[in-house]
Amino acid sequence: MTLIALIVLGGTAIALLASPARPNSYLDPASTAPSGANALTDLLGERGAAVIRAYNPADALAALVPATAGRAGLVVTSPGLLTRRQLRSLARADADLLLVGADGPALALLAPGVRVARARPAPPALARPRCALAGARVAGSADVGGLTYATARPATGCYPLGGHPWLVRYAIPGRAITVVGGGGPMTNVRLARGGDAALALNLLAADRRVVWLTPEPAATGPATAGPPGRPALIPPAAWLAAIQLGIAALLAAAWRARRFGPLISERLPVVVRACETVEGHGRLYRARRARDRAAAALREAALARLRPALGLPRNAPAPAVAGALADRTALSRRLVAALLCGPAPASDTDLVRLARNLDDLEKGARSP
Amino acid sequence: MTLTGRVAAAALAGALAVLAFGSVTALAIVNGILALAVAADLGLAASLAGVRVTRSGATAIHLGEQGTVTIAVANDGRRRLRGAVRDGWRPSAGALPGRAPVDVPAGSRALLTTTLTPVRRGDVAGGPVTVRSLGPLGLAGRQRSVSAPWTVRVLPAFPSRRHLPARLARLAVLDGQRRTILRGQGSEFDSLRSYVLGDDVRSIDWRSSARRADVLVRTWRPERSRRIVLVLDTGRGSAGRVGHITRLDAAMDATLLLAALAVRAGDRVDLIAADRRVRARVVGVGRDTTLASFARDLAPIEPDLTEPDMALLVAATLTAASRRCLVVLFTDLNPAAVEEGLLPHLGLLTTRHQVVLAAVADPAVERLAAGRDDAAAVYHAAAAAAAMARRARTAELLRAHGAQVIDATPAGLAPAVADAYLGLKAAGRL
Repeated sequence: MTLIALIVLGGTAIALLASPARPNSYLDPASTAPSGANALTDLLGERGAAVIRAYNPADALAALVPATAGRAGLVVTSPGLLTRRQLRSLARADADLLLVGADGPALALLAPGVRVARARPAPPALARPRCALAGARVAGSADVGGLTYATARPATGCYPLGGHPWLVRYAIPGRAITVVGGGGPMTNVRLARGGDAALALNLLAADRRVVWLTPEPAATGPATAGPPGRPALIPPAAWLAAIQLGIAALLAAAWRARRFGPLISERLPVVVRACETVEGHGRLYRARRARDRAAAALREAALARLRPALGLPRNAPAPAVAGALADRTALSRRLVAALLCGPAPASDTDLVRLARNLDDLEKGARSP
Repeated sequence: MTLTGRVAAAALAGALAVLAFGSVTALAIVNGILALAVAADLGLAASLAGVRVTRSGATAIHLGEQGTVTIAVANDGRRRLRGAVRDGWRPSAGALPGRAPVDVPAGSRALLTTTLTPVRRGDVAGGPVTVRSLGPLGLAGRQRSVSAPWTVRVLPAFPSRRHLPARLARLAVLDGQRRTILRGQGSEFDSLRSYVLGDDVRSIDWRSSARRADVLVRTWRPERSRRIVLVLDTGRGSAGRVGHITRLDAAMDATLLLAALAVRAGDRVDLIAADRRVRARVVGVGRDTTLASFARDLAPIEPDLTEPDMALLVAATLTAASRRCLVVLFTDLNPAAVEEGLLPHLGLLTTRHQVVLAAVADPAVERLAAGRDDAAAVYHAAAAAAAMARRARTAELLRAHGAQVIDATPAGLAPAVADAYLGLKAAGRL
């Protein structure tokens, strides 16, 4: 029981340890999965922009700080996963901002004045830009879908879905804030369709350096800050308990491994089945199709049993036995002679029939 | 040193404490306490240097029966010995229970009984006895294996014992209880008694009648104090397995039945077992101890996988049998082995002695000979019929040389040999 408990606990610990390193691959520039953004960031790189991957706001801000030549852009792919504190710190960043599917506090803090127009996300559809934004007009229709927005401030709204724009862009001094209702056009799987690639590239065309922030879900809720690196999925106490479980497993192994005294050996006798030679002989008959020999052996055995039953001497020849047997039973002399001293059977079926007929003959001789 | 499951369980419980406190300190404390407890337990466990183990009990067990061997664990140390003892026996000894808990106060001793149910004949030497001494917490302890020499001889099974009463009854018919007044070959003068109506007038002893003024008749009884030599061939032929025993086992069973019967009939029985050398020789022991010495001396004999030396077998028999006696030779009816090995020497025996040759037939061959299911079964049946015919021819050949041949299945051999003996005795041919 203890062992089973140890095994179950140990297995759970191992499963926790072996969980995937990147829990959020949606629009991850490193991900080549259908929902990743590896293709888009590759294209950006080919066009001369430097794409810096960041997986938490602190790294993203640090990457933005050395403001070298040219404008920098910050892409936030899943702003809903960020805490309020992280959102506030991002709001202070001096860079163009592209928010993908932002809503709630992310929208309020990073793009104040823009709000979600309808609670229900619009289904994916191919839509025309219908706006004055140069990048969108050049790109043409794109594979949009998701949230739609409404705004009170002067802004450009493109790709209307049901009357509300999917893309909203407005400018504040020195920066352009762009909010898109979903990441559809940027994913690896959709990039090649319609004007998707063009739209995505155009939205980021102005920036020489693009910091791509793919936030990871925080395990301990928005309140705790967590360690400066990735938020811990497994609390440290669990690691320590796993170590203790390992110790318990080692102790259990030591307990079971110790033998209670030495093994005691004994010499076993040779086992030879006495009938093995007979069986081998039978298989040899069969392998060589030795029907003549088999039939002769069966006939001789039958004759040996019939002679005393018929009151004949031990060396009486087969035809004599056949004659005596035919006299005793009502069978024809020719039939009995064929059985007892006829030719060898032509097939295995004939051999089986001969064996059974000989048996019947013996029975008949005993009870005429 | 040895650890118990309690340590592992304690460490497992410690995992909960570590999970609750969630600090490295808790981990260190839990394992520190555990290590201290294990060390203390090891230190407080009774020393095994002062433990003496001795065995006593059964020295001989019949195969198929049970016997008990007791081990005494004496604790000469200063601390109380708590823990467990394992009584080591080889697997075929069927020792139960193999292990038992013990609690021996200092200066005292404990007795543990192991029941042996051996499944193989021969000498079974007891293996080492392992003593495990645990500390007061039962977390850890010491372990030591002590040798306690003891050998149990597993005597041959004697399943044909059940045939003995019937044979003894037949012997009684031959022997004293119903004294025959008919004189014949193989009977000897027993006593005189008064004539009663119905007695054969020819048996009246006139000389005694004249002296006693009464009509007396002579009574006769079967001859007694004849000698029988049982010879077991332990060569390769005896190694063949018929059913779940070897031919040698079946021969031993028959040997024991015949010896038991012959001793009760007042005859003297000797035993010789040989293959290329004489393996057992029981000659000239008293009637009371015959059966026990036979069983004891036959027990450790295993078949030898070589061709037996028939010249040696016959020479050993002739040495044991000085005057005319009944020789029962247990061997195999293997045509080639008989023709080349036994026949050249058989004449030496048959000229001087009454020879019965007993062989164990394989019931599996008879089953094969009856197979008619398909072609394969019929081919096997043909091979079996041929083998049986060869065996019968060999038996014929031996009969032609003056030996009486018994070819019976393992279960039927012992009664067949006993009946042959009784038949010879009744006919006065011993």
